[in-house]
Amino acid sequence: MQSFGLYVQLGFEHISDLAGFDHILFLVALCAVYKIEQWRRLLILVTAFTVGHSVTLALSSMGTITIPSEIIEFLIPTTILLTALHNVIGKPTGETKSGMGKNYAMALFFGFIHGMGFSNFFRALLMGDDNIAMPLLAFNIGIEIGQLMVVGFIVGIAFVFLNIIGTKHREWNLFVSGIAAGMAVLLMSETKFW
Amino acid sequence: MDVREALLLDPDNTELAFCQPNESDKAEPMLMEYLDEFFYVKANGQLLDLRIKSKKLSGEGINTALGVTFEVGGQEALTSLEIKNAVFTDLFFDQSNIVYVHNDDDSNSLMLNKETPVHTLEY
Repeated sequence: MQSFGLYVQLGFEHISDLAGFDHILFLVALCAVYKIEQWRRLLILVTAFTVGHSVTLALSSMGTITIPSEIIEFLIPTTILLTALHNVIGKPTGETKSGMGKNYAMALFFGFIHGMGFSNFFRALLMGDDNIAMPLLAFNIGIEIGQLMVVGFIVGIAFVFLNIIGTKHREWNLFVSGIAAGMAVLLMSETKFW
Repeated sequence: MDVREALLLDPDNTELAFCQPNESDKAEPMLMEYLDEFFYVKANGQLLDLRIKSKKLSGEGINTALGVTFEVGGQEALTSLEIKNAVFTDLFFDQSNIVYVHNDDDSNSLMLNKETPVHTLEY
């Protein structure tokens, strides 16, 4: 296997790894409360998250920004908790344009934090290789492929519950956000750095 | 303290000081003793006598990785290279190890794990 393919695989496995499920859980909290009819908004939301994590993955991998990994490992479940709380406490998904604008901004900002988490893993893979452009691109492509797969799966599950089984949106939102929030609190207690 | 304990539980320990300027004389022999059990390279079916050229700890916290470089020269044309890397797969079911192989201008990357600890490159 050439290195490009290897890094694509590593990026894909990193985000889709069930053993390290924090990024998946964030995507669940971010996406599962949207109905399939809201796919355009969901697409923009996921793109905002992608832009955010791509920027900090690159900057952090190049050493432009440095934040201790233990802080990032704590902040990642914090983003899950805040997203889950926002789902429940905030206005229903996308009722207003300004409301969606806040959601996009939140996804972008939380993407910055997750990107630094990705870079902590990515930097460990680099063994003093000066040219990180190719591995970085490949790793990011792998993450995007994995992310698309995870989001597709989440939207599919939401479609089954909301459109086929007929679960009420509010109940579904509370169920998904409640699970995400509970797991986020557990992760936060495990990654507490002080 | 064994090499697994030193690397996994306390990579920054001062006793062995892996990959630090003040690395203990015991560190590299201990590492090789461990690697002999879980890692090998066979060129044209012959087991190679590996010596560490360099090593490096990169990343931090749970994302710490140990990189070890071996360099082997030889006159004989290489027809096959069998590599086993089962390092830490006895401790972690999802442990993956990356092997970069550079032979003249040809480079390959392998990801070996508990399921597939051995791979053979044909030249």
